[in-house]
Amino acid sequence: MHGLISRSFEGFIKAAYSEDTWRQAMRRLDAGIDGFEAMFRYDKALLERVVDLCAELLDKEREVLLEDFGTFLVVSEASARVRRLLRFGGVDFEDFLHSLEDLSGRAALAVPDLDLPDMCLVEREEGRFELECALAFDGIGHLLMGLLRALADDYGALVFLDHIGRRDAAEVLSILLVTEDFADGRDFHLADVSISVGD
Amino acid sequence: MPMHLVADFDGKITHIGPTLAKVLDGTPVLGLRALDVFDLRRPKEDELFEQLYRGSTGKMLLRLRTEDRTQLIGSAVTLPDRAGFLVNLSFGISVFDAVSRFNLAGSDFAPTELTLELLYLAEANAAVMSESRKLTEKLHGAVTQAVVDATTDTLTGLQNRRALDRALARLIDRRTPFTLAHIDLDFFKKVNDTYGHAAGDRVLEEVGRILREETRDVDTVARVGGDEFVVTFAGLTDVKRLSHIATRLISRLEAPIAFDGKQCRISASIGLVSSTQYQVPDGEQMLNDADRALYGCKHAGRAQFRFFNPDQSPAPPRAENASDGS
Repeated sequence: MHGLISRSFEGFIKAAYSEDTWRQAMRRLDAGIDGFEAMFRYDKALLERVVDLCAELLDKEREVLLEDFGTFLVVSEASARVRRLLRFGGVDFEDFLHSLEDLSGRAALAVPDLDLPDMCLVEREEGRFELECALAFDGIGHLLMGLLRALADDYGALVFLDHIGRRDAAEVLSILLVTEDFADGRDFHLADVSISVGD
Repeated sequence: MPMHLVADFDGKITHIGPTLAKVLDGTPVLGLRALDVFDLRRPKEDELFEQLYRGSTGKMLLRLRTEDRTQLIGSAVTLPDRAGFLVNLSFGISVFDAVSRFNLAGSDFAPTELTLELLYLAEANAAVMSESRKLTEKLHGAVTQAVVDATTDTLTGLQNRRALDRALARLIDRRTPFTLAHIDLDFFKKVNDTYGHAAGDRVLEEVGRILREETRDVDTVARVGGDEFVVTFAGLTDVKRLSHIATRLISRLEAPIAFDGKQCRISASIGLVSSTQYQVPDGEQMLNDADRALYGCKHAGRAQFRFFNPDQSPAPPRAENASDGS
């Protein structure tokens, strides 16, 4: 698992909860590290264990914590880049959903060994989709759910999301896109200079 | 547009561009329905025809109906007089796989496409990222080494006080019962004074070796002063076993150590205290209490060990160095 992913989880815990929560988690992890290096690779079991420990410390369900993490990636100022890169995917939410199939390829352009999970979108009927996400780690679907929910808000679309469990080596979400123009979404321009480079 | 195809109004392919022919690897497709060659994923077929009826389509997502199911992006326009459709295709993100799969060259792409720039960027980026990762690994290695250096006693290779504090905090944090042994060498000053510092260093090295041999990997052995050592025995609080270990340690340390043809003789006093003697163990408190037990040994004539007993162990006089061992 790429350090960028573990590192963004670290950023989430520190920003959404506290530095102290993170310190405690690292102490309990007892792996001789006090955080993740962005440009390193780590065993995926290590991140899974960190997620478990944080959930335990915060007295939250693991699934809920991962969903919050997904939301954080889109909503937080700290990860404004992630939101923007995701919004590059499509002009509206449905377009964006289809772009998820390209996401791992696009991300690999920037970070060749990032290894984002492959996703596959199937439209079951008008406006009703199933998204299969390869099992990069246990609970990836919940992370994705938080992320999609926040992005739907970002686009101003009304969607209903449901985690419908595992299928082979993937977690599956059902997505009901009720309407694209439910609310005013957040602005998005391809060229955005409001984010300083290197933050 | 080397990736184009032309279809008649029934949707049958009448012409394909050279790159598309390469991608289809000689499969004869002229006369076939385009949608039998390409799997249309978006938009739906009736919607697509509606768009074509109006003159042109938006973005089409397609996949080749071959084993590798190469992804393609397309857009189409209706030709004048409804002679058919012109579809221009591109690989989108699948271009990276496609280049090697179909053995494509720069001339296979439309000059107006940014494909070559993209390939160039991806390759340059991979090179830079790889350098960046190497640098990170190098720095990380240096940091790890610095931490090792900062927690190691250079003479004996044992841990130092900083490492001991960390080990104590860890044991207490994890609620592992353990025993702390404060070891002070007896007659070490005499060796130093009689045979010189080189002899003293030799003795300390030998003590380090013996302590390592007599302890397990899970134990921490630290040199915390000139001739003072602290050992933590993780998971070990049994008085009988600890007495056995302490006796053995003292007897091994009493074996003469050869230096430059001379026999250096030392012994050791050991104060022990277990975490189970406290409601809530505290590292600093335990070190002090082990020190008090050690002072009891010195007081009683050295070369022996004692367990800390809050009722019997007197506080050592802090003003003078109770452990100079001369």
